[in-house]
Amino acid sequence: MLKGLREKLSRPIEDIESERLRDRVEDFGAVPIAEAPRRRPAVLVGEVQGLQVVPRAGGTSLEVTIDDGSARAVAVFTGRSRLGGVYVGRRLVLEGVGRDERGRLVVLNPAYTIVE
Amino acid sequence: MRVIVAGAGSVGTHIAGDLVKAGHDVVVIEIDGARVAEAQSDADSRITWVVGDACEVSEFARAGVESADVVAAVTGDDEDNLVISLLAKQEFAVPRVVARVNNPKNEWMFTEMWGVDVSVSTPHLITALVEEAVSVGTLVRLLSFEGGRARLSEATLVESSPAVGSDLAELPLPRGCTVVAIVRGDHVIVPRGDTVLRSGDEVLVLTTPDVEEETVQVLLG
Repeated sequence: MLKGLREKLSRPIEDIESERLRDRVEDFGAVPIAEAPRRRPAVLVGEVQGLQVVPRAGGTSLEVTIDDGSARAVAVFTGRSRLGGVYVGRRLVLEGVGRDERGRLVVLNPAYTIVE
Repeated sequence: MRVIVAGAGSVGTHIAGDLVKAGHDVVVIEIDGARVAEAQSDADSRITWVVGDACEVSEFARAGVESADVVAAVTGDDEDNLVISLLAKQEFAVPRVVARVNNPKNEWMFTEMWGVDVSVSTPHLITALVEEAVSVGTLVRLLSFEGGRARLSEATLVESSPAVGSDLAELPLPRGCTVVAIVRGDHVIVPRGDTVLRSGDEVLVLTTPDVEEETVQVLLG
């Protein structure tokens, strides 16, 4: 029992965090973000880790970063600076077509569902 | 590379022909079946033709957009070109979307907001090239890339320009600016640090928008 405790205490915080995130999205049965298909319609589930308003050419975009413990994905909402109900810590389901952009999975204007 | 050209007008047909000659895999999608039949008869046989509305996701998909490397929206209608660009980017995540601007008034909309990576406006290009030929002592914008984040501009130096007589290494050009070529008479000079600028030189510079002003100051005063 003590051994289990020691293991728990000495694990890197990143591992604990990704395990927590994995537990949180488990019940959806969605494909992990790390294995999500590129350029095909996909459903991604994750916890909102960050919101960023980014000036893109021609206007602003809202970039929402979600994490499911396997990897991160970025949803780009063009022309938006906020989305009602989308805050850090919320669980989000995104449906869209992703592609790799500078090493991250980016989904442009996905359909989104706030789960909690 | 796999390229989808939307619109089989004279522009689309020519682009498709050129690209296929360059060894690319080209599909042209056009709504008008009669136009396709006409274009097909005297075009390169390696081009694949699809009759369909590229503004409609399901019909656009028939052209095989999900595996395309580039989509070129070159119809004669700016609204259609914008819709095609947005669909290509949003529904098919096409890495590179090139769109044709027919009316220069609409050019401001052809940005990343509508999924456009590069826009080409023929009237604007012609204006720029005419200006480039006739203006001296001012900066003429020739092309912009990456949604306006990089620009290729040209400056023709005059006797009174501050940059005349100094070499490139000693010019206090800002970091976001590079001299990419110097046209001196009939010669094109690939610039080096020790290249000395002369009056009458056409200097081609690649700049970011925020240092454009500073570049003008250094080169032309």
